[in-house]
Amino acid sequence: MTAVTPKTVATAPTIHYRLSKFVAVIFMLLMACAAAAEEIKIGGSGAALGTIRLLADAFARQSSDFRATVVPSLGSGGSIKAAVAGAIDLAATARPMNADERALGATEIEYGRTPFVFAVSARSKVTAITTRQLADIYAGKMVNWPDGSPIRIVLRPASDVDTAMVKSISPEVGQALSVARERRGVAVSMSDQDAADDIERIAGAIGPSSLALLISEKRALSALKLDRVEPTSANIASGAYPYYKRLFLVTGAKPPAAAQRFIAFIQSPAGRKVLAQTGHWIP
Amino acid sequence: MTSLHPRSNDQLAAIVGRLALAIALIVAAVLPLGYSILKYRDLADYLNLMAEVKAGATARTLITTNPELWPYQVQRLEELLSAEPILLESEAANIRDAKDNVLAKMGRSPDPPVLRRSRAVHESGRVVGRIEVERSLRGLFYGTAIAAVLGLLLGAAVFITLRVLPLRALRRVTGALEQEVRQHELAAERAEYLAYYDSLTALPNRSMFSKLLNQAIRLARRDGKQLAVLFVDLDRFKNINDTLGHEAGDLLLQEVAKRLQACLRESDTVARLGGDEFVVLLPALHDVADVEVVAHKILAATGKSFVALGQEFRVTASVGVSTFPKDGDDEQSLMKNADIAMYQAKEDGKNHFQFYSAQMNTNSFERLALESSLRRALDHGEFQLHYQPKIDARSGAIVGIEALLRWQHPELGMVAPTQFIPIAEETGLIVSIGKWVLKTACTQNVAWQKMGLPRLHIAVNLSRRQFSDEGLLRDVTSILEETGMSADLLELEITESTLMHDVDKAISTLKAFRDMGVRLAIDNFGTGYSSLSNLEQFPIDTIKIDGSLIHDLSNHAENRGIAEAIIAMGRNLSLTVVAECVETQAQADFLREHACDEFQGFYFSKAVTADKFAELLEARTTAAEEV
Repeated sequence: MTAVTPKTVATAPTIHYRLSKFVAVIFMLLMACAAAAEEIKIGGSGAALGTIRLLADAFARQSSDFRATVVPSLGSGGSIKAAVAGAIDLAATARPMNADERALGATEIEYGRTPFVFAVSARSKVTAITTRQLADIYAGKMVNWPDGSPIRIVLRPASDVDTAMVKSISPEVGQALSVARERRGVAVSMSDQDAADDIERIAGAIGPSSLALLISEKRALSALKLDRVEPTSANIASGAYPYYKRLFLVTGAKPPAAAQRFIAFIQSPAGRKVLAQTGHWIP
Repeated sequence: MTSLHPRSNDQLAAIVGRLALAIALIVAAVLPLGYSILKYRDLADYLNLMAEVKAGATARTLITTNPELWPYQVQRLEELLSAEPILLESEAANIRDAKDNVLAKMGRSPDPPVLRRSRAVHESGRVVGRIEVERSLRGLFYGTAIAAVLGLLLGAAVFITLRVLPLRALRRVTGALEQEVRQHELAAERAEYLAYYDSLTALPNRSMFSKLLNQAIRLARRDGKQLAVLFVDLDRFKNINDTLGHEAGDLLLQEVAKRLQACLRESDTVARLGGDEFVVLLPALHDVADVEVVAHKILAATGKSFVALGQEFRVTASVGVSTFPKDGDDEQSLMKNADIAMYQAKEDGKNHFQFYSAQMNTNSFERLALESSLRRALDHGEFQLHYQPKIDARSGAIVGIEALLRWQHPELGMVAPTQFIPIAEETGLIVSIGKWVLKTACTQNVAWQKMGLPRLHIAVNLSRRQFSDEGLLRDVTSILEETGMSADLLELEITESTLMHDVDKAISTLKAFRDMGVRLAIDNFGTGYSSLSNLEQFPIDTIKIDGSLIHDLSNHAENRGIAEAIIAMGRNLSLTVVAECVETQAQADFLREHACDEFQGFYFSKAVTADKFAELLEARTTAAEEV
């Protein structure tokens, strides 16, 4: 969490010292209230949170009255609900809203796209994978890495965006994923962070993630080339790497000004720079 | 009694039935009840555990990570609800916040009724919500229904096993006992039947007849009516039994029983007393003449021919009748008198019926008394022989002797042979009496000769029974040896009817005597049925013309003719002809005129004691010598 210290406002000329002192205290209190109103609570998809945290820090450095609290991953759906309910001020999601969510009065802005990747431990010698291999791994046909160590898959919940992404790679992979979900003793990670933690922790693990998360959170993970294409923002921009997550900023019906200011910052060159550095392509 | 303690049997069956039903119901109830209770507990435990696991996972995964915002993570909550343990189709789970709002739910709402279990979800020790897991109880109900059906089947099997099998065993035991009891009853019935009925003819027996007769007597006495008892005895039944066998005899008796029944009214009774004796009771008699009708019917019915074992034969019956109250006012006297009347009918020639009369009773008593005395007479030396001379028709000399039996009864005095000889004949005493006669006569004759009296042949009568006795020849031989009398001095007199009874046997017996040198005479000749040709066959020496012919010589020309013919025939056959019972001069003259050889009778001398005869013989001999 990044905290920005509020800046003290200068006092006005006084008639009486005591009166001046009282007014000054009241003003300071009001200012303090005004400064507190600049703090926003941000939640969202795990894929986005690392970058959002970096952006909030950057914005706080630029705008001293801005303070943001980034809560642990709520997931895209959870964060939209929380935003609509006003429990958070801003949601960063890894998917666009559906009609139901849109009907609740929320508003979204796509702020970038980041490659959807298959990650392995940074210690792994594996650097690339094919769709075919992916299907075999999920189907349990390929159970060892080339060095003979066992392959351990990390799955995401069925309703998670990442699961939908994996299925979209190919029908074979989709079918293989269904088989994988039936396998016993397979780790299912609730959030993107949980998944990244599990892939880092479990020897020989492979699981879905996003390039933004790996870079923003400085994870000890490597993103594998898929079908010989490296998952980079340039490659998604060119279309060479077709698998990516669209990232959105979602606000409720009446977003606080600080949230709007933060959104504006993200869309500003400074914000775009941070996004570019953290594996995003801004369409 | 038709069943062995039927009441206790039924009670036992009812108790066994109730017990079996109670146990069967318990078994039938226990299965579904036990199944439902166990299954319910199992299900409740399972739902509790499931809620516990899901609550723990939720708390661990989401709530502690994001204690304020976890309620918004609906999809993840749903993921956790659908994570292991996996919900079944009939199950649903939901998670509620502290205000009981449903945050997320998985699974279709189960069909009611529903079993629901929940577990609280904690965060920092505070309850922030709860997980609720529910499942439809329909599966449990279906299972319980199947268990109930199985329970009913099992209960039915238990009921059958506990009720039917023990009862079947019980019935088997009681059935066997009942059968045994039934057999005892049948045996008792049979014994009772045999006590009152004749097994051969199925007619009432003597005991039953006695009851019926006594009852009939009481009714007749009360109503002032008469009744009749008819004794029916088959004539010569013994011959049928002896010649055709007992089987034929039994068939005959059965047929007679049927015929007798057919002769009677429904109110009449016929009973079999035993052997060939039947007795008929005609109660409530209006007229004694009715009895005659029935008696005639009985004689006619029994007189018809019978066919048994392929042979046709005839029997006749003799019927004796006694009536109440004339001939007796109690059972004993009626039965006795009917019996007496029946015997009289037999004596009168059989195949007819005879009403009882008081005279018969007297005769009967006398007869019984005589029979009794007769048995003692021989031992007591009550018999004597009297001797009657045979007189030569021309010379008037005594040429022979006939020994005649006399019975000196100690109370009755001299009893006539006609009275006791038939009894001795019937009772068989005649054989031993006959031997005594023969031996006494021979001894006496030898004694007379030893006294110096003339050597005369002595005649002894043989009855039919004696003549047919197998030991006769042996007895005669031994007596002659014993007494030392010459065989040619013995003359055996046999009646015409005795010889005719079995001609062939008679001839052979006579020849045997002839060979011994014994003289043979036909007694009472002229009354029987023998013909001249028959007479020729018999190796005889003498014919004795029956006294009845001689007695009526003067009155009946026919008798004279017969006497003449007999004398002529005798002469032609070179036989000595003796006339018996010559009582008058005229008779003697007539007979002498027709060349009769010898006389015997009162006219010359009655039968006298041995001593007197010796005197007579001595006197005659002296007279002859003087002449």
